Amino acid sequence: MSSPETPHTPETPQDPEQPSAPDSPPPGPPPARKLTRASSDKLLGGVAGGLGRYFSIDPIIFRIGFVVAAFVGGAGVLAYLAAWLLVGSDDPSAPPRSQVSRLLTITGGAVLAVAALASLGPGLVFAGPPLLALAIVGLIGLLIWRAASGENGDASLAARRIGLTLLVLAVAAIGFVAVAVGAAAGGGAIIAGLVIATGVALVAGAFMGGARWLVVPALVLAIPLGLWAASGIDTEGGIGERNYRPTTTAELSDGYKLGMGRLALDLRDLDLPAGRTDLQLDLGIGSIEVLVPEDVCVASKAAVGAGFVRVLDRDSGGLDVDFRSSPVERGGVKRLVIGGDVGIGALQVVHDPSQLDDDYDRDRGPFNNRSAFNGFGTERNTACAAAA
Amino acid sequence: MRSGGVSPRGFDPASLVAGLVVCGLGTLLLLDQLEVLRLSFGYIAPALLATIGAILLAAGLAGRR
Repeated sequence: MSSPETPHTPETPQDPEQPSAPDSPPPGPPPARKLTRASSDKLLGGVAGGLGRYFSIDPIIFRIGFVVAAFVGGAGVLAYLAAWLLVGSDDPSAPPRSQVSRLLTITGGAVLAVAALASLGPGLVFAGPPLLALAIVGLIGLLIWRAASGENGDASLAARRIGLTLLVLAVAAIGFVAVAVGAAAGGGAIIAGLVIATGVALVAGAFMGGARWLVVPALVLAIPLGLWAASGIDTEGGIGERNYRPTTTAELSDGYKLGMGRLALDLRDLDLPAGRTDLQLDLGIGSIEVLVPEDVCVASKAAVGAGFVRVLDRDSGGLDVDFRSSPVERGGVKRLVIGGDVGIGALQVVHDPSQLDDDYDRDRGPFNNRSAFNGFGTERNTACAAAA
Repeated sequence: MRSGGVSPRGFDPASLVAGLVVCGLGTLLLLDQLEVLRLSFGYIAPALLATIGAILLAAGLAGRR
């Protein structure tokens, strides 16, 4: 009695390559079960059909899962495309990876992946880490699966390929961290030079049979450096927690700087003079928290690579945040003009320290865990309003 | 290491494309590090995705190795 996986193929008795042979050899052991895209039970690429067949589950379960995940940040689209790219078809009549299908698959995948990432927007950083982690874990799993499924049951070779894949992923992860540390230490230009050198080696290798493996170190160098550069992180100023509580204008510096950590500036005991006072705050990674007295009109201009800015009753968050707040004021008012530059993190200016928060919801602002009657909206730039 | 799709001594267009786009990306990063230009997430994210996409596309067109 044949097992469900045994290729009992009543639909292929007329295969010209396998004429009827009454003396055909007895069937061998059933082939190793392999995940393939279904060519007969498919709506798009046969991914859900293949998954359903592999796990002996109704494919509709996977289809619903992909659709739901697609509407939750686009992870379902990425996962489906990754499976489409990485899992081969079960159709023996068509070339498994023809040039045309590969081109269409890759092009469509790239376009949709960009669209999915664009739809994430700031949520990629704030609301989407679980989805992003899920997508990354899924891709890693598929890579391992792909490595294991290409040897038609050769367990030792599959194990070696899995081990090699895991080793490459581990080295890549370590490389990401090392590059970020190197960039933080001021070696960004050297790392960029290494990226260019790797590219030149790839070009040279193209005429000697190819050196595609160099793509891995090139991306391991370029991706973390690019993200580091985009965040605009400046690590000058040290690491740790800095607390300042000036009580006189002489104690108040024009600017405060921290590389990584928490910079807290409490101005509530400071009697600022009438007119304009400028204050510049710079932070690489972390949080800036400024407490201001209620009789001060606060204006601000802040840039954040990834994070959020909140100045009293106004806020903005996401990637490449350019925050400007210039409330109208008239003469005789104490006016504090805060300039901020944060690589990754937050800049918050409040009257009440209990209003500080480390969460940001792009739809509801940083105080998403508070109701309208318990905190949200209680901060006001009252000094400016009174002056106007 | 032997490979199936391309002769070890032959020409591999995928490596050529990958090398060129990696050189371009590296140049962008170097210019940012030298403060000739300022990269933001709005620029670097498409650049990284385009690089990866171009490499995948070239590898797909050239055939699996």
